[in-house]
Amino acid sequence: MSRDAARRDAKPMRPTMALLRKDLLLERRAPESIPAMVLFSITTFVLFHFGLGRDEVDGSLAAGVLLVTILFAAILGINRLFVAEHEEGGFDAVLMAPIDRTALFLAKGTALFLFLTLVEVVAVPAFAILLLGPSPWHGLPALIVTLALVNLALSSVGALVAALAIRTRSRDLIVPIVTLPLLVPALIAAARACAPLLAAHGDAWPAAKWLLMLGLYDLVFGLLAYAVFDFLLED
Amino acid sequence: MHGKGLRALTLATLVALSATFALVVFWAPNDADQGFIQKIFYLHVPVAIITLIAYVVAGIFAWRQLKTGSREWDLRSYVVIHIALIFNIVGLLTGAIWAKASWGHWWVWDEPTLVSFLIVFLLYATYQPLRFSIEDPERQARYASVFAIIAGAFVPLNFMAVRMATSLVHPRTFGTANGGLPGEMMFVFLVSIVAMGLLFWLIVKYEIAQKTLTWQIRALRRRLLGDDAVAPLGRSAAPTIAPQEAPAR
Amino acid sequence: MNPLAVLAAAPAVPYDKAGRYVAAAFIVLFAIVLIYVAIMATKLQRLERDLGDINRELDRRQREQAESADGVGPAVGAATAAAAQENAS
Repeated sequence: MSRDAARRDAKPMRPTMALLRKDLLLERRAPESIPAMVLFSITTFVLFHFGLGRDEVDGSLAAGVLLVTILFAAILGINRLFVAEHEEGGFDAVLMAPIDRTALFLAKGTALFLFLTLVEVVAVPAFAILLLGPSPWHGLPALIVTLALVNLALSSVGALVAALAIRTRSRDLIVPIVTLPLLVPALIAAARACAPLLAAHGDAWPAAKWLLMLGLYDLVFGLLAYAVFDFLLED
Repeated sequence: MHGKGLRALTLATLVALSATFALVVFWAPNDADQGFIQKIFYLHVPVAIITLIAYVVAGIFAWRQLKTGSREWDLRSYVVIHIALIFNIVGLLTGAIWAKASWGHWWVWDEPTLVSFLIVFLLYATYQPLRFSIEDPERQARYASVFAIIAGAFVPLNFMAVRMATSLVHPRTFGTANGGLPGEMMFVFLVSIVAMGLLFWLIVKYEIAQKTLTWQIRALRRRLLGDDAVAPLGRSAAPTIAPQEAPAR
Repeated sequence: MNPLAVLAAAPAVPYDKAGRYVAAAFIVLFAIVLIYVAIMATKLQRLERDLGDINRELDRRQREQAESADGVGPAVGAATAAAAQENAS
C-alpha cells in the first residue's frame, strides 16, 4: 500500500493504472465476468441457430446476430463492473484517496474494453465456426477495427451507466434499459460496417462513413462520460 | 411567482394554435403528391422538432443543475423532459397515423424522423424509472442530471445515425423544413412550429407553477398543523424538495 | 369567426379516408392536451382541499385567541400564534 501511495504522486496516470491492475487481478484470481460473457455469447449463438432455423448466416443477418450478441454480453459485464466497489467500500476509498476521480472512470472503462476484447477473441471464432457461412478471412482486418470501435463505445457508455446504476434500487433493471437505447446509433453504424465483411463476396473494407460515425460516437460519449463522471461520485 | 405571465402566454398559445388549425384546414394548399393527407405534416413535424429541441434544452438545464447545485434547475430539467415525453408520444401517434394514411402501414422504417423518435422515446422512458429508483433527493437530482446531459447529446447523434442509415436506400418522398417547401406551406409550417413551441412552454410553466404551489402549501400545512398533517413523502420520481428548502441555497 | 362561418367553409375538408386520418391526428393532440387539463384539475382540487385545511386552522386559532387571551386582542394574527407554537414545540 505504501508503495502505491508513493507512486501515486509521481504521475496522473498512476492511479488509473493501479485501479486497472486491481480489476484485472481480481478477474484473474476469481474469473467472474469474462467466463459468464463468453458462455452467454456461445449460448446465444445456439439460440439464434434454433430461433432463426438456419444453419448458416451471412451479410447483414450475420452482422446483426454477432453485434446484438456482443451487446447483450456486454450488458452482463456492465452490470458487474462496480459490484466489488459497491460491496467492499471501494468508492469511499477512491473518494478519500488524493487522486482524480476520473481515474476510476478511466480504469473501469479500460477494464471493460479489455474484458470485451478477450470475450470477442473467443466469441468471434466461435461465431465463425457455428453460424457464419462465408469465410471470415477476407474482412478480418476491418472486422477487428470495427469491433475495437464498438468496444470503445461499449466501454465508455458502459462504465458511465454502470456507475449511474450501481447505487440505485434496481441496478440490474436500470443498466439494460438505459444502455441498450443509448447504444442504438453505435449498433446502426457497426451493423452497416460489418455487413459486407461477413458477406460471401463482400468488400474487404466497409464504407468509411460508418467507421467515422462509430468514431464520432466514441468521441462524443467518451468525452461526455469523462466530463460528467465526477458528479456520480460526489457523496 | 411562477404563475406570472401565464395568462398572456395562454392567450398567445390559443391564438397561435387556432391560427395554425385554421390555416391548415382552410388555407394551406393540398400537396401535389400526397393530397390532403400531407396536412398531418403541419402537426407531426413541428411536434417532433419541438420535442427534440426540448430534450436538448433539458440537457442544458441539467448541466446548469450540476454546475450550480440548485434544485430549481433540476425541477426545470425534470418538467421539460416530462412534457417532452408527452409530446414525443403525440409525435409517435401522429407519425403512425400519417404512415398508415400514406403508405398503408402503421409503421415504416424508412422514415428517419419516426424511427429516431421511437429510439429517443425508449431512452427517455427510462428517465422516470431511474429517478424513482434513487431515494436520496440530492443524489436523485445529480444522477438525473447526468442522465439528461448524456441523453441530450444522444438526441442529435441518434438522429444523424438513423438518417444516414435510411437515406441511402430510400430517397425522401417529401420535403422537410429545409427541402424546397413552397412559400405558403412554409408559412403554415412556421406558424405551426411557433404554436407548438408556445403550447410546450405553456404546459411547462403550468407544471412548474403547480409543483411549486404544492410544495408551498405543504410547507404551510406543516408549519400550521404540525408534521402529522402532511402525508409522509413516498418514493417519487419527481423532484421532492421545494427549491426554497433546498440546502444549496 | 362565428360557428356558422366554419360550417359554411367546412365542405372544403374532404370527408374521405384522407380527411379522417388528418382529423384523427389532430384529435390525438386535442385528446392528450385535454387529458393533461383533467390531470391538472384533480391536482388543483387537492390544492384547494389543502388550502381549506389551512384556512380552517387559521380561523380556529384566531377565534381561540379572541376568546381566551384578554390582554391580547384579536389583532394579533395567526402568524404570531404559529410562531409561538413553533417555539413551544
